[in-house]
Amino acid sequence: MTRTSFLIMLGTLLSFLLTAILYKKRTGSITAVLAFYPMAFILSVLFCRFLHWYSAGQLYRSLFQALFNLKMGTYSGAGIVIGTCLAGWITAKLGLCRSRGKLMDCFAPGFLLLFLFIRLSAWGTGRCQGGKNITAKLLHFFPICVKGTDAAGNTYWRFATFAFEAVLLLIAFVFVLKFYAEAGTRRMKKPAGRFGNVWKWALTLFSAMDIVLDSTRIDSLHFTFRKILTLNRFSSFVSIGQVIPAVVLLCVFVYYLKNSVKARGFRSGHALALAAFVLGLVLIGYFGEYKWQRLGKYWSYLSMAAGSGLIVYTVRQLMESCVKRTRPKPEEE
Amino acid sequence: MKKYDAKQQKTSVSGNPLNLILGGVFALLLIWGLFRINPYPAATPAATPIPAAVQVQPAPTAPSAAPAEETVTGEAPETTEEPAVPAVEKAVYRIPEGQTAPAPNPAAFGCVPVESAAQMEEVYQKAVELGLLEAGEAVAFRSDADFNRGSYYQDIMYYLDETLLVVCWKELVGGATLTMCEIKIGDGSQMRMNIWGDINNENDNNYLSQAIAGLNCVVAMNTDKCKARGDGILICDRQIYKYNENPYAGNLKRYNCLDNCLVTGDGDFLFTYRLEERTLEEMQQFVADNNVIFSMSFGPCLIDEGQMRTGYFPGDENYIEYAFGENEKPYSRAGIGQLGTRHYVYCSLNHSDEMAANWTMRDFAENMYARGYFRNFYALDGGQTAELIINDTIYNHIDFGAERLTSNWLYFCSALPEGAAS
Repeated sequence: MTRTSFLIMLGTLLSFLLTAILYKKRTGSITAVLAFYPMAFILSVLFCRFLHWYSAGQLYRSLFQALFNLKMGTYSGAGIVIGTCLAGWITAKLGLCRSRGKLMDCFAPGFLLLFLFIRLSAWGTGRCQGGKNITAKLLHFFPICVKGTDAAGNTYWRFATFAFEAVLLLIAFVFVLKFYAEAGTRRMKKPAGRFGNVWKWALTLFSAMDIVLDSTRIDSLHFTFRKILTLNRFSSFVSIGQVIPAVVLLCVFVYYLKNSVKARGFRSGHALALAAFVLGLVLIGYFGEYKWQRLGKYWSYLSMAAGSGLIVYTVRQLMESCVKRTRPKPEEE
Repeated sequence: MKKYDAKQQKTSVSGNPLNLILGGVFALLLIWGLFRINPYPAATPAATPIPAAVQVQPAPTAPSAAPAEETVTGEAPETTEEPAVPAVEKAVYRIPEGQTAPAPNPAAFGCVPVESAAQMEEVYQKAVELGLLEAGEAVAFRSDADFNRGSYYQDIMYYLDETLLVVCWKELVGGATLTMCEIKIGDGSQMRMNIWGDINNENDNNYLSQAIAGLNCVVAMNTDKCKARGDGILICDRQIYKYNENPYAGNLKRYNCLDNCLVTGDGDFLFTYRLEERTLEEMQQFVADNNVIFSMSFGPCLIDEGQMRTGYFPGDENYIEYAFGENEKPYSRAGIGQLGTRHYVYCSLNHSDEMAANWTMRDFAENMYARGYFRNFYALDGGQTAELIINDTIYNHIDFGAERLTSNWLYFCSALPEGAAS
């Protein structure tokens, strides 16, 4: 057992307890949570390994080895998003919970807590280092920077990607918990669902920070287009850790845009939201990631942060536009 | 599908057997995870530290090393022109093909701060005394160069024994950092290419820093990611592995849509240029006739026979857009050129903390040509692929700060038998 394993399992346990408490308080039962967690655990591990095998297949002899020999290789964190979403869907399909949205809402703070522990577990392993050297001495403090020594004995400072993300996740965790507490008093205009909004909000915050921070990592995983498009020059270029958050953000945005238009009719604000979302993606993708890869300029990060902030703001505004401004009825189970 | 039953669900944990089973499964998974889930395995240990600056010792009066397993004899002893230097009978060591090179002598590595760059003149003088360099032979290193003093790898690193001289330094050109590596080998067998894993599996790649383990190389560099691309020619150990005669575009075919650099057993660069037509059989004959050992396929060949080549850049006569390298965009660049017999310089312009790389291929060609010492110069895959390792240490600043998975690399090693004093 390593400290990393211990911290991750501790995070899983705390995440489970938090979800169980919230779900029990809301529904009076924890069967759904007890069914959801083992499924989410297994599916997440499988998807994490599958994504890592897809991107770094040369490290494994076969897909079977990647999926089932966990003593070697590592994981892609994006698999947890896929694994947990799928586990929630299966739990609902099995009839173990009445509302998938309600289950995922209760899981949302725990999801961020789990990732917080995963990122914290990297500290001290030498894997917390981002790809960027930080030369400004003013920035040489944890959790912005982490100190390292190279093979020649020289000291260097790198951006502490995971420690920095852990701090952001802690902030997001507090925000989502607060949002969860308020969510019970809100009713959404039909056809927007009453439940599932906390989960979508947590995914939005998580994806918005991950899409930026993945760019700072030294070990980003990339899509390999060789087999698909034979575009050799673009292989090892497009990061899985950025595309999956981008897809998540797009799904959440489309969901609220569609519901907002159906509930309120198409308004100029919707066109503005669409333009803001596209602008956000351009800031992240072109002025941020693409220009960073080409030019290595610091302003690329600012562009990415601005883009993801714009998307978060747009999603939140669309979400608010779906809220029914009437006194909420008491929650029923 | 089973219907949801709120009453049934609202039983306590201990009162519901399903809950007990699910809770037990989850507890087992947690315990299993404690011993199996570890996404951050400990980082690989650091490579051998580089020794502190080595003081250059006076040359020995005669070579003290025994010849290698296979020694080319019969060459006249080479002497320097300076009368003060005692004559040295030069033994030429060769590494047999297919055999691992002897391990480099750790004491032959050195590191000189840029403030003391003048010390490197002693190293070059020592190389002359050892018969590795000829007296008056043009070298690329200049002690008065505008060295990069901004990054943490500003020191000049070198290796010198009777068979190999390697000097790595970083100089500033227009604010961007140009990593240079000058290499002089005693025999062509000391320049080698290594292809990782299965030569026919394009997904079988590795990082240069990991892949060179066991090769006993002094200095290694990425070249062209030959397995990942279907164009150009791939020759390894005198065998042709890639020669696709299908059309590429216009009159270009896949094998001749690039300039290919073929390396001979004597360590010379031969080039096959775009649109040069050869059948596979003719190419096999060409390889045999010219003692070609391996190839590099990226290009273009920017300088040949001391002259800058044209046709690769907009505005040139007979301009045809080059297939690789985004030549018209300001970007990172890399390449290798030959100064003289078994004498090479590798250059890499990377993104750095000081300034992003911003050379078009024409800028690169003009800068290299202006240096005046290149007999030929061949562009390699730049950007994140460009990586230079000396003494197991990554020397250049790799674009985006991280190594890239590649398939093949050029490396130079000492031919001096292990244990032989230098």
